Amino acid sequence: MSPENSLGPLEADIMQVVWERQKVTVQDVFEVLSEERSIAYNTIMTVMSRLAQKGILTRAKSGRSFVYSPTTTKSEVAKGMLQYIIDKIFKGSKAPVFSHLLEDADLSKEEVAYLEELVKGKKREE
Amino acid sequence: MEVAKSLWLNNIWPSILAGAFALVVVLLVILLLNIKGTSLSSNLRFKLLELPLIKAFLVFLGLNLGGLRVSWYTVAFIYGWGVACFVYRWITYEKFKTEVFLSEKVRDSKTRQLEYTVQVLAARVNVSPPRLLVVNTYYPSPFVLGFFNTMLVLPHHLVENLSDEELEALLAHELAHIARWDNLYIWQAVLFRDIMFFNPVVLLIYHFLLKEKEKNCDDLAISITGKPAMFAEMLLKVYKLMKEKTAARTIMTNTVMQSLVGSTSLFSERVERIVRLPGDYFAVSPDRQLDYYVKIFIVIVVTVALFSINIVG
Repeated sequence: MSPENSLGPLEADIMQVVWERQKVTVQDVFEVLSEERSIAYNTIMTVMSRLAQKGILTRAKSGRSFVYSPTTTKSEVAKGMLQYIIDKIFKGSKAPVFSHLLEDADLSKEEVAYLEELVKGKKREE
Repeated sequence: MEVAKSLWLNNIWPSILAGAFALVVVLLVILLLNIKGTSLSSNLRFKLLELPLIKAFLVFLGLNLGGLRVSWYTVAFIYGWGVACFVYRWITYEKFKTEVFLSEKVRDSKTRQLEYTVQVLAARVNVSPPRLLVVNTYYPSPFVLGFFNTMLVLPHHLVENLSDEELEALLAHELAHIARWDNLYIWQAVLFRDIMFFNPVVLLIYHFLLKEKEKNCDDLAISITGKPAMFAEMLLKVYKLMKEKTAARTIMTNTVMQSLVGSTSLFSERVERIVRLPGDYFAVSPDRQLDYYVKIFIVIVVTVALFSINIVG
């Protein structure tokens, strides 16, 4: 599980409802959660859309609303989150113990262009 | 509570202090001796930077600590934690190795040509040629596995996209890791970092070591190929290929590559450094050799002193 796929507290609460019922609308989740706490319908809608974007939920249009279903099981997400936490503690679990050519850098286009210019200059010198 | 207090007073705090002190000494030595500027002495910097790591580790273990009382349960806790870290690393390493073994291998005329290149390069750095595995699985970068019977794993997409000269430079870099026993050093550094995760000095040194390791291998590879610009160009090309692929393979990149610190600065630093290496960087004159031996002598003296002096004992 990548960091962006780990669940926050509200996301976890929403997912509990989704895993229990398997097919839910935002209204269904709102009804369950609003019994326990004060929460806005729009907040739940936003969070569920985000979960769908992350690929943890799928949604299908049904009339005027969306019906959401889980794409993974509870244990899969829990396992992924645990792995993520372990990775955080150990700063990644696989790569450090062997040698490789490049680390995963993230340069801007300008930085890459600058480096390319430097290399071209050096090539001309050679 | 007693264990925590004992750990803090007798192990953690002295280890942080000892590591910091040793790091300051080592940085001063590097600065005063000007250990940079030639390929000959650049490896000394790596060796020196390892000293504070080892010192911090010994102090954490309760060794090198005359006069302090260390309870048996503290020692049991520390050693238990160390073993747990080692076992965790070993399992993940074995899992990854199995994943690589199970990858689809490519065996064609190009692979045979690359095997020959590996043999030639290995002879030049004076190591036994590693087994070359060209795999169809996507890995963003080539890598070396193992300590004694090493394996050089080369993703096939790189073979398809790089020229012969670029592949030679890439293989030279990987062989430099083998020649320097980097896998062993990395194991040691990673374990120290895991065990002493609380120690900011250890984290700092770990990042220093990663940088030094790559720079030293770049140096060795360039000294073999004799073409710094081409080497820098190859690095850029592999980087661009990595970025093209990783847009669609984020998860793979996270698991395989994340751990060597997604350091933008290290990659840029390497390319810039290679391009700006002085013309005489690889020259080995008698004067430079003498200078090198003097530095080795001073490094030995510093090492003995560091492990004899006990600032928290």
